Amino acid sequence: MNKAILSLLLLSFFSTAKSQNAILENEEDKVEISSNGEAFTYTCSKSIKLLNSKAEDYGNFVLQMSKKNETLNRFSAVISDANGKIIRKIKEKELQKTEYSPELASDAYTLYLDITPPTYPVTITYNYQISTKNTFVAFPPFMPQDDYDMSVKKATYTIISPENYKWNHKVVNADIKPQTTTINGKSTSVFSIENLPAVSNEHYSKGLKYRTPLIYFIPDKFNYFSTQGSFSSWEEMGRWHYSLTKNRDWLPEEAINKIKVLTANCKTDKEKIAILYKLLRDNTRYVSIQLGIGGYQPMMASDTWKYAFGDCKALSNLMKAMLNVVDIKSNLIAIGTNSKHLYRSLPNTIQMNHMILEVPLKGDTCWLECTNPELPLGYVHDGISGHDAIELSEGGGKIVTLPEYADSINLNVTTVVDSLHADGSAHIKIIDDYQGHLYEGAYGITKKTLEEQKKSLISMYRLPQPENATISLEDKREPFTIPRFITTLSVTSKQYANLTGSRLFVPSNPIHKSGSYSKAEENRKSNIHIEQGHKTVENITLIIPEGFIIEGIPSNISEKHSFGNFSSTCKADGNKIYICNVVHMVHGEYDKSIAKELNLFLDHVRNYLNSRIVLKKQ
Amino acid sequence: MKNNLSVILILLLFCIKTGAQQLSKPNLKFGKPTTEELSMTTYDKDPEASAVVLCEDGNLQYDLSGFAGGNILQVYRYKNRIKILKEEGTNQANISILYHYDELNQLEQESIDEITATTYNLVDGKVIKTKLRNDQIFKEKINKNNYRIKFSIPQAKVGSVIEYSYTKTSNIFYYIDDYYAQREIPVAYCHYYMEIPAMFYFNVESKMSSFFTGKVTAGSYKVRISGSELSPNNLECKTNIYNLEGNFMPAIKDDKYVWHAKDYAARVVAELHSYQFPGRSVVYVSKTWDDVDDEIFHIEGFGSRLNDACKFKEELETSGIKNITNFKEKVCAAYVYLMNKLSWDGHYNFIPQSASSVLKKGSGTNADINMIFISMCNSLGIKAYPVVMSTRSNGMLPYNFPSLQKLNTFIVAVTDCISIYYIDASSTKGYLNVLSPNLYTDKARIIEKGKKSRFVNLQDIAKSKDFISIDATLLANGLLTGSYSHKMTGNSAALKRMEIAEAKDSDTYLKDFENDNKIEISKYTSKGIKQFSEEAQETFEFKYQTSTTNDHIYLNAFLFAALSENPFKMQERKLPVEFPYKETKSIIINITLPDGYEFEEGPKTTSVRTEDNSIRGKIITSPNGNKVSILYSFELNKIHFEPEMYAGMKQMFDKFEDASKSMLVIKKIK
Repeated sequence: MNKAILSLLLLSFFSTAKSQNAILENEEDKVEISSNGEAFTYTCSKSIKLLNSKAEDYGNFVLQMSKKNETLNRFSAVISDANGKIIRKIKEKELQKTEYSPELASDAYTLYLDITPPTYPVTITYNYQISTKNTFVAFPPFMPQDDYDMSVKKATYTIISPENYKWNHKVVNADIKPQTTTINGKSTSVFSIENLPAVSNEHYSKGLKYRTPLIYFIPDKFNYFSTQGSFSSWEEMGRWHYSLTKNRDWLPEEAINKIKVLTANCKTDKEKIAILYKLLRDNTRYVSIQLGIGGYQPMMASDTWKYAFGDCKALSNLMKAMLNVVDIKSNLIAIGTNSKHLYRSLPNTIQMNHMILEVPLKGDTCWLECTNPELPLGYVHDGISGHDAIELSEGGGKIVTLPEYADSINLNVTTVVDSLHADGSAHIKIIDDYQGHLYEGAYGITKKTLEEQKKSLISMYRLPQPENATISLEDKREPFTIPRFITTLSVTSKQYANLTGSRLFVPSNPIHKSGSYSKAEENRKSNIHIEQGHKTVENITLIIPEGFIIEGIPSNISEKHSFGNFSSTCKADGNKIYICNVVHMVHGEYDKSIAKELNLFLDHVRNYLNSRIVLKKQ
Repeated sequence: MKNNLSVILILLLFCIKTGAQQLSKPNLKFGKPTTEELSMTTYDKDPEASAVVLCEDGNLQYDLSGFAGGNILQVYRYKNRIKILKEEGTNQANISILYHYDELNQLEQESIDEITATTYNLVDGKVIKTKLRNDQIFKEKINKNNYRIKFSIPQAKVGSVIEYSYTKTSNIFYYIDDYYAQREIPVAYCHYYMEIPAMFYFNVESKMSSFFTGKVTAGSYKVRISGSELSPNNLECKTNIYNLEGNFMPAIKDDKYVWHAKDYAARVVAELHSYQFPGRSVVYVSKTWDDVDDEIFHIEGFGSRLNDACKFKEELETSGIKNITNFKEKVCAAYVYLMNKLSWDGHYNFIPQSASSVLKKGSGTNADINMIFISMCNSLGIKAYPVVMSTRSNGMLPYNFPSLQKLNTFIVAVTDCISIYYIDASSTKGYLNVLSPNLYTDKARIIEKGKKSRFVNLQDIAKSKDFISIDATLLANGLLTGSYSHKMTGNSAALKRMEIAEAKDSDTYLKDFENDNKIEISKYTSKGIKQFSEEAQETFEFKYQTSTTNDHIYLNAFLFAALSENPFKMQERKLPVEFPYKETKSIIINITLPDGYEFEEGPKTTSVRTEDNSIRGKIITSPNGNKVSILYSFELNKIHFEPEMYAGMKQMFDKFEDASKSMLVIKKIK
């Protein structure tokens, strides 16, 4: 094949990948608030240069809209090649529209455009304008660097409002001051960002929204579906939200009677809560309906009772109503599953996407996740534990913080008894005990059929050629205690150890399947963030077959670091070998300089957990 | 209209095990669940089912009253009664009904009406009924042609019996919806009734089994045709009645290594064969595959374009491709030329858009790009034809009749009159005959105008080969250093290209490779990774720390080239196993031992194969002085294994898994 032909066979889109895929050349956002403060237009012009095929998705256009209060005034897009020559113009009518949503009902629809560029580099420029009328609780946020591996040359956000109109803002991950001018009764503030280097998605790093400049804009006073409120303080925000929930917690006579009968013999409030939480579980299911004010206002408790379904607000409100019947006071709590910390200085609703119920008991506040009453009563799940939230009550909103479990409570203890036979097969019993947040990942197995349960337990471990598996599951949940879930698997692995000639090579434990960990990038830009701490303890007993002697066993090790500890001991006693491994990871943020230390630590752990015992025939 | 009693209902009997228990009589009365239905807590045929369909009644009839105005309607009436047995089963009460509604084409508009839903709960011995309200029914527009009705049935909880029914009216009278008797939950009883006016002759294929049976009878009914002057007001319409009944049908659940689980479900599919309106002659829509071919030629934007010249002919003239003499090189050069101009947008389609709009956009579906490729071939003097198919994930084509509506894409066949090669816009990381596994269907049809078309089995062309060779030297401290070479052919090369393209960057790719295999890599080189070619190769030098004791060195006999884990863990399997393609893998390892050491033991030399040679493999260990060499080979020569063959197949994979864990023991000479 001659060279000319070879070059014809090269596909240009196999670019040599560098960790920069795109450049945001320019973004100009403009929010213009109407003179009466009841409407605004948002105009966006955005030019993004895609450098290689990894940036394919960066040029796609997606816009979430609401049928109720938003209109797209105009849209156009232009694609140009490396020389600036226009290769395609896109008109508004080419936008795709879908109302598809996982909710039962919502006002939302999506406008989108998938662009697959023919060559790279290519520049896509979007121009569009949306107007929002009467009803809004926030202005579009400003986050020009909205993807990894994309640098930003220049971006500005201009907000124009009547002089007497007040809005609040919060700058995150940067120090940006607006330039403000006032002319003819109109106040104009301009926020500028220039020359942001690309951010790389590194292992053990916080998400992009914690690493790139981000500004939120919130009106000080607002109208929302004929209600009025203020974001001047969290108290005011809560006052408005509370007003939407007020007087919606009454129940029909039939329900009241049922609740009274069910709780008649209860001695304590906790007993009553447990019975009603069970009633909620048995009688309702989650169905999401978000229409109009219904995005913030719960369904009437009587309706939720009647239909036996509702969203997080409706189910929390129903639980509140049921507790009212037995004279237990409770408060609705607005919370964000994606925002651990609320911006103290910027009261808003956009950080929140969920509602739960708080029951203030004497000396012991109970938090009820009513959307998933399958969770053990009183257990504060991973999506909300340690999160700030807003308590809604007559007095307005109050910031509260949910409890968080200590790392040592998120514990996994594994006990293994492994009786090995001379042919390499083994009878193995593995008991896994999951506690704290680890419960959540474990208990889902109960939803499966027995056959599926076996399949999923077997595939969790390293058990070649499994046969005759029997399992048992134990859901240890007592109301108001830390839940535990225990799985037991008894199985014969026909080829647990490898018999090579006169030797048996025995994996020191069957718990760990794969040998690969995500390593921390050593030339990284971001600090190392271990989001959830946990502890795993493994106690393994290996019974060696008759006629074999030990030729090699792993040595003992113990190491301590700021981010975690590891110890492994292995000791032989008669025909038994006892192994104990303890890994403890400590949640927190660590300087990026520890990357190498962390990787070495992970290597050690891996090598120990995957080590082999060598037995030899006598 | 008299000649149609010759309809044959083909019963395909599949051996699926059923617990042949006595059938208890199904409750056919909607609105009146029985006490047994209300109080049952498990379904005895499948005690773990989260819910069970107690009774499903499907009914299709034609409404010919608008016949004179050309308005022929299908009316589907569906009724369901479901028992909820577990919390997960409550999602059976969240209903979503898709339907077709083309805003711009009045001839393709369906509607959903007469929705009712009721929950029956047994409370303190009393039956409490809760009805769905009309304002709890929501409509969602998915795109220009498709809508969805959604509702959640109130009061549905564990123990509830829910019933819902709806009517779907369709003016797409020539297309009958597929009916699947089996679902993800078991179905205790179902009845499907189709009454089709004899003027429409549908090919009907039912995938039957011992629990889903049926018969065809002739029927008739009186039609009142409004607005017709020619015919009497009351017309007798002869019909064919399909009556199908299913009892105690197990749930069909998806599994790994199956492309389209529904291929194995009991069902009824139909396709219009011909029709004859009163006083007119028979119009054949499709009779044979030849007719389907003909129809394809007549599809707008398809047949007429097959002989088109290329839109960028002049440009192509100067590209030099025309002068390439080697046929394969010429085809590849043309393909790469096009793929540098256009990119595939990730979608498969059947009907291509116009070449100019695709070229303007710079991207398109595989159909869009393939059609332009055919025109390029025309201009270059390369013979090229479309190869139509139903992709593997779209499900198999019907067995007994040709089907246009099941076809969902086409690829391109090119030929130098000696050999045929296949190529597709979605497979830029592959080569000629190296396609996305989803396209390797056993039934694809090469369409050539003026000639008889024919079926080809694309599973025969698919090949994947790996050849790994490792030369290494072991030191007394257990450090192994050496060189590694991996040569990939066909789909294996394509997989590697995809893996590299998906990695964040080349650095990350190597780092991950090192981390996964616990080795240190240097002098990495690759060939054929950025090229459209059959082969690719990776080579590098490595360091690998083995484990040692005072007297011994232990290492895995395959080092880091070990085979992956056996994906088949369960002792039984309900669905067949369908592999992506045939493959072969060979590994040759040569290790030079340190001075003063010798080979003590290693994997036993063995050779295994299935009776039909569909899977075979061997290992040969040869110690030779201060050297040890290990040779391993594996061949998968067949890609479809019926459940009965599962146990034997699994056993073979088990053996390879064992072998891949074999150790080498190197001993100090005393």
